Amino acid sequence: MSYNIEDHENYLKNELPYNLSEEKWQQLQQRIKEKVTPENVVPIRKEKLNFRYKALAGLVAGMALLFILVTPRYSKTGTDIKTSPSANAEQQLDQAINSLNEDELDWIHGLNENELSEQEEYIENQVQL
Amino acid sequence: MATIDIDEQIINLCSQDESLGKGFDLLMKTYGKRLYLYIRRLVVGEQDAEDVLQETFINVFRFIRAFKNDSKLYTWLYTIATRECLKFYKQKKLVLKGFDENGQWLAHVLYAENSMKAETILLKFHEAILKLPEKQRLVFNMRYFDELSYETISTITNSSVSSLKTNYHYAFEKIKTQLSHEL
Repeated sequence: MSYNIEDHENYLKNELPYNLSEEKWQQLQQRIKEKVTPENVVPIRKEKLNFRYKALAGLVAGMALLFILVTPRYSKTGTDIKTSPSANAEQQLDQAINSLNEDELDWIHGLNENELSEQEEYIENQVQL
Repeated sequence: MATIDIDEQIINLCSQDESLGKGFDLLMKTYGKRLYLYIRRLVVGEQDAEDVLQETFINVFRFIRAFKNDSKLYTWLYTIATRECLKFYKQKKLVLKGFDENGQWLAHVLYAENSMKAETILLKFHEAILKLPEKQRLVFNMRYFDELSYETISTITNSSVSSLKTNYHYAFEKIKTQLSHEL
């Protein structure tokens, strides 16, 4: 029996499998508020951020170079993608998709796009408060 | 516009020590519940969600003075919340025993914490989402529940719109198939 998610969208989107009463929500907010105090939160100023980014950029560049030098290279077709031997077909497909680069995913999406009808795509909306 | 005024108020209040409390209240009132539910759907556990939300808020207040307004405030908040959720997943991977992946463990927590005895279909639906690969799980949550645009999700996850659409499409079909098998 197939379950049509689209038919039950309102229910699936708005109902939660867990409960958060108003009282619990207020208590949670209070607990978090007590932790977010000027003493606990040391603000990062823009100048410090810039210096940190430069140091971090240097570190990342060094690590990237090390990574390129020591790790094995995979072919672009993905035929050498290593998956865990115990993974089933579906898991292997998941791993394969996750290992694709942006260009490869764009190409696949081009194939998928022809299958998607207007009704299956949500309307792009502005978030209103 | 009212939206921009509130964001500006939040940033101004949260950027000054003397108005931190008011800033917190306004931020929580405007975005708190939405952020909490987003985090809760990803990490499932009640205490875990509170911890991740707390870390999110601490980082928000830590970095808000450096916020450049090159994205909307809620996009920035979602980015921080997403990062904290991913950090949570990494930490859990180090301590998980007996579970092959995070998704299995999260599904276990979902059923363990289901004190209100939610309907089976609802539990199965959320279980299917939790068992998606990490990237698909994130995209699906932001698109399906929070109805964020692909452009916004692209900013949050640093992925291209095309790859997000592919991930979402694949996730959606996978969930439908799984529910069909379960029912």
